[in-house]
Amino acid sequence: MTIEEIRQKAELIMTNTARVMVGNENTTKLLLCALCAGGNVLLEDVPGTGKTKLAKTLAASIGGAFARIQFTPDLLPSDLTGMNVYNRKENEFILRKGPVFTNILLADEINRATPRTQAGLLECMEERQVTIDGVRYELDRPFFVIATQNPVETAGTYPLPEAQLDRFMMKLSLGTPGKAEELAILERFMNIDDRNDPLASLTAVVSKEDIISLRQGIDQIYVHPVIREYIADLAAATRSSASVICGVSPRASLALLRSAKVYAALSGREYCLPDDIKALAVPVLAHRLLLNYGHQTGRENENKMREILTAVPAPTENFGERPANKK
Amino acid sequence: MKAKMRTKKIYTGFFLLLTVLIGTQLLAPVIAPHLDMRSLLAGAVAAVGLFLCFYLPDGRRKVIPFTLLAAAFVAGGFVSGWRRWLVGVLDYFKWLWRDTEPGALLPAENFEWAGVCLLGGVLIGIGLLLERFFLLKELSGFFLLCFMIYCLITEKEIHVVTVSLSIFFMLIVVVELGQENNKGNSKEGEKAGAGRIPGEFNNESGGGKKTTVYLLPFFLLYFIGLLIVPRKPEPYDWQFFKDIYQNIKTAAIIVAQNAEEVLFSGREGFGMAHTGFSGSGKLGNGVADRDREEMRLSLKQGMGMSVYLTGNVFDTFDGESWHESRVETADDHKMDLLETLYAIGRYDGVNIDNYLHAATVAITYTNLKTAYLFTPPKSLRFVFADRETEIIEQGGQWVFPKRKGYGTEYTVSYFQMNIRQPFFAEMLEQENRYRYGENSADYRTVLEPWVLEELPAGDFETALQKRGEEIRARYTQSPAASDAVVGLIATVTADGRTDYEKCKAIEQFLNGHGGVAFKYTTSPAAMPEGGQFPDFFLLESREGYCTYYATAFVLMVRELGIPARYVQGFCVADDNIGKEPISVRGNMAHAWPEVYFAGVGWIPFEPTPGFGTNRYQYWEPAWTYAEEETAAANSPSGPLVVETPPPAAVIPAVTVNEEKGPGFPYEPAAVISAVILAGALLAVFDVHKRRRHYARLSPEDKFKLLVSINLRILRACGYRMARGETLSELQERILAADDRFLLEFITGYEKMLYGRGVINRETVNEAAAERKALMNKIKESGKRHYYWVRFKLLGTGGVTYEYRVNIDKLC
Repeated sequence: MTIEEIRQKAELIMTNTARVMVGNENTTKLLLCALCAGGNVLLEDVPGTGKTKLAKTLAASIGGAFARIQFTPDLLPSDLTGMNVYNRKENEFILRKGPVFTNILLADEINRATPRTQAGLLECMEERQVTIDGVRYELDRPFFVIATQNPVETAGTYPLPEAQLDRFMMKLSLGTPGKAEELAILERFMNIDDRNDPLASLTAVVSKEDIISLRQGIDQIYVHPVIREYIADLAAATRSSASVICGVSPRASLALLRSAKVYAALSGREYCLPDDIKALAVPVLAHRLLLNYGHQTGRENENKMREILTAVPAPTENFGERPANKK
Repeated sequence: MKAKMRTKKIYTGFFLLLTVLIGTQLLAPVIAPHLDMRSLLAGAVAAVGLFLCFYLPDGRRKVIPFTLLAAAFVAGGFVSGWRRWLVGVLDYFKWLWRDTEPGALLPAENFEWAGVCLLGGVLIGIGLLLERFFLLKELSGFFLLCFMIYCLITEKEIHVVTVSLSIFFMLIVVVELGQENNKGNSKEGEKAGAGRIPGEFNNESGGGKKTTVYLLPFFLLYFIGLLIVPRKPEPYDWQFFKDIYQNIKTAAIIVAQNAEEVLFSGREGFGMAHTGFSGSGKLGNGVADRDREEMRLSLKQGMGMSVYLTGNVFDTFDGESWHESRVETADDHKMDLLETLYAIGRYDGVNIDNYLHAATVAITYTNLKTAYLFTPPKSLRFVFADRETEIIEQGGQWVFPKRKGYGTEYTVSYFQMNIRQPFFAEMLEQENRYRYGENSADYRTVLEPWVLEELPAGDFETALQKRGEEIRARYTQSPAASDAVVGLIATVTADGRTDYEKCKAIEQFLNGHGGVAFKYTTSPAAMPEGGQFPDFFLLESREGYCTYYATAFVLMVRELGIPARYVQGFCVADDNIGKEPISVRGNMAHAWPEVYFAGVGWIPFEPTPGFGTNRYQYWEPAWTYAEEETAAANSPSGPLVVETPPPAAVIPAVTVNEEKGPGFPYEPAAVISAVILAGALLAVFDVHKRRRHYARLSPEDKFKLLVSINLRILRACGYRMARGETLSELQERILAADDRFLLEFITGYEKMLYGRGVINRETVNEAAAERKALMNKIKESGKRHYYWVRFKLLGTGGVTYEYRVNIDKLC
C-alpha cells in the first residue's frame, strides 16, 4: 500500500468517524494512529464525553469484530478470555470464547476491575494471545484494545500500576466540548428512535485486511537518524528531569517512533518530521511519567511533558542555534 | 570531530605564534630592555582572556573576554593620561607615515603604549567585525600584504610591531582560506559517509569560521610580547626578509649551477663560449652568443667610462690556441700599477689626476661559475664580502683556488687610465725610454706618500727591472711567422719610431685604417687544417671577432720583440654606467691585447674593429699644459684615492642621486590608490568566484544555500527560532503573525532535511523566487527596514557569499 493510499484510507475512516463524533478529530487521528501502529489506547475522561461512542464508531468503520466489556470488581479473567465448558452430550470440554476474541475490544472502566483481571487483559494486549487451561489461542489481527477510565470517582477502583500503564501506547482524552460542538451534538443525537442513531447507519469503510496491509505500507516511512536522536533526547530528558521520579522506558521510545511513522503516513508524508514527534510525545509519553508532586491526574504529567518538549531542541538546521544564548 | 578541530586550531595558533616570534628575530639581540608594570598587567589580562577563550563552551561567549580586553586596553590608555594617549596615537601615525622619529613628541614608552592601546582596541574590534564579514577580512589581509610589499620595495622602514602584526594577520587569513579550500574538497566524502543531517542540531555554535576569535588572544599576547621582549630601538629594516630572499635565491642558483656543471660541462671553464671570453684560449671555437647574465657590476666611484674586466690572461700561443702558464706571481698587479704611477710621477708629478683616476667597482657573480676573478686593469685592492676568500695571483690574472659561483661578491679599487689623451701617449713614449737604475730618479721623492706605503720591500727600481726582464722572457714567445707576415708587419710599422707608435700602427691596421679592410663577424671562415693563424687571418680571411684580432695583434707585436699578452674578460660599455647594478651579460665578453712598455707597465689596446670607442674614452685634464705652472702653484694634488671630479669632464663622473625633498606624498597616494584599485579588483573577482561557485553547486546545495538565506531574512525580520521549536512550528508562528510571507520553501526544506527527497531545479527556483518575494515584501513594508535586512545579510554575504558560511555549516 502506498503512502497516498494509506492517507486515503485514513481519510475515509476519519470522515466516517466524523459522521458520528463531533470535533475531536485529533483524538480520532491519534486513535487511528495507535490502531495502525499496533498499540492499545487508554481513554481517560469523565463519563459521558463519548469515549465508548468513539470506540464503537471506529470499530464500526473498520470491518472487524467489536466487543465490549464493562469492567467491574467482580469480573474474572475467564470472563474476558472465555473458558472450557463440559458438554455432556459430546462428553468433552468445548471452548466458549470470551469477548477478547475480537478485533476491537472496548474495556470500559478498566480501573474498576481487580488487578487480576486487569493483568489478564494486559496479557492479551501485549501477547496478542490467550491461554485457556494451558492451551494457547492466537487472537485475530488486528487486535486493538481501547480501555477507558474515569479520572474522578476513584473510590473503589484499582488504579493501573505504572507497569501496566506502560503497556498502553497512548493515553488520550476527549475533553469536554465547546458550546458550538455541544450544539452540534445535541442536534445530531436528538432522535430518540434507535434507528435514527448515526452510529447505527454507519458502515465499514475499510476491512480489517486493509489495516494489516496498511501496517505493512507504513514501514516505507523514512525516519532520519536525527529524528531517532530527537526521540532518544526526549527520553533522556524525561529521565533526567528534576521532578520526575521515573522517566519513560525504551518501550515508550519505541512506541513514539512507531506511532510517529504512522502519524507521518496518515498525514501523507513519506518521512517523519520533528513535528510528528512533538504531536505524539504528550499522548505517548506523558502517562508513563512518574512525578514526585501532585496527584496522578494526568494533567500534571502532560504539562511536564510539554515543558520537556520546549526544553529539548528540535532537530532543525542551524537556524535554531541562537536562542540558546539568550538565557 | 569538533573537539579535534578545536585542538587543531589551538595547535595552529601556537604554531603560528612560534613561527612569527622566531621569524621576526625578536628573541635575538638585546639592546634596549625596558619592562614596566603595565606590560606585565596587560600580559596577565591577555592570559586570562586566553584561558577563558578556550574554556568557555560557547563560541559566542568568547567574545566577552575580548571585549573586556579591549576595554582594558583602552581604559589603561586613558588611565595613563588621555592626553598623552591621544597625542601618542597621533604620534604613532605621524611616525608611521612621515618617518619622524618614534617618540619624537613623547618618550618612547608612552608612544608605544599609545600604540598598544589603540591597536589593541582597534584590532579586537576589527577582528570581531571581520569574523562576520569574511570578505573584509580577506581584503584586509590583502591590503596589509600590499602595504608590506610597498614597504619592502621602497625600503620604507616601519616598526617591527606593525610588521609582525601584519604578518600574523595575513597568516590567519591564509590559514582560513586554506581551511576553507580543504573543506570544499572533502565535502563530497563527508556527505557520502555519515547519514547525519546537514546542519548543526545542537545549539552550540563555533563552526570553522571563528579562527580569528581563536587566534585573537595569541594576537594580543604576541603584540604584548613584542613590546615586552627587549629589542632594537630602530624600525624594522626588512633585513630579515632580504636575507631570506637572498639565501633562498643563492641556494637555488648554486644548485642550478652545480646541476648545469654536472650535466653539460666536464672541462675547465665556464660552460660558456662567448665572443671573447672562454675558459680555453682556443681560437675559432665558434661563438655561442649566450645572452645570460653572468655577473653584476656597480661602478661605485670613478669616471663614467667603460669598464674592462680582465678574466684570464694568456701568454703562450701554439699556432691554434692560447695557453696560460699559470705561474704564480706575487704582487704582479700591484707592481704594474706602481710602475705606471711611478712613470706618471716622473713625467708629471703634479697632475696625476689627468692620467689616472681612482675608481671602485663592485662585482657580484650571478650565473657565472668560474675560478677566475674579474678585475679592471691597474687594480689595487680587493675587498671580498666573504672575508675568508683566498685568491692566487698568476701573472696577469687572479684565480680562486676553487671555482666560485653565485653570490661571490667583491669590490675592486683601481685606476682608470686617460689613454686617449695625447699627453698620456707622450708620457708613455717618454717614460718607455726610461731605464731603471740608469737615470737614478729617486722614486721616494716622486711617489706620493700613500704609494710609498704600498711599495714592496727592497729597492723599487731593482724590483721593477727584474720584473721587466721576467715579462720580456715570458710574453715574447710566438710561433715562427712566415715571411709574408713578417713583411706585412714591417710595412705596417714602417713609420713607427717608437714601440708605442708601432703598436698603434698595428692597431690601426687591424682596425681597417691601414688600407686593408677587416671585417668583424662572429662566424668567421674556418682556418684550414695545418694553416698558420697569422697567415690565414692577416692575409686571407681578414674576418673574425675579438679573439682573432687580439691574437693577431699580440702575435704581430711579439714579432717586433715587444712583450704582449692576450686577455679575455668582459667589456662593459659606458652607456651602461649610471644604471647600476649593471647586468654583465654573456654577449659582453671580449678579448683584447695588452702590451708591456718597460718603465710604464701594461697598456691595453683595441685592435677589434668597432670597439675603439669603448677603449679610448677620456676625460679632460684639469689643467692644460700651458697653465701647468700656475696650476701647479695653486693646487696641491692630494692623494689619488680622494675623489675629486674635474670641473669640465667630457665624461661625467658618477654621481649619487640626491634625495627628493618633501612634497606632495605621491608615493603614499599612489600606493593607496593602487591598493584601493587592487581591492576593488579583488572584490569583483571574489564576487565572480562566488557566483561561479554558486552556479556549480548541485541543486541540493543551491537549495540549502537559498533556504539558509531565506531563514536569515526571516531572522533579520525578527523571527528567530525558539528553543525546541521545529521548522513547521516556526512557519506557523510566522504565518500567524505576519501575512506578508508564504514560506513554502520550509516544507521543501523539511522534506530535504528529514526525508529522502530529491531536490530538483524547480525546488531551487521556487526557493530563489521565495527569496526575492521575501525581500520584495520587506521592501514594500518599509525602506529602512529593507536596508537594515540587506545590511544584515551583507554580513554573511548576501546571495552569493552565503555559501562560505552556510554550506560549510550545512555539510
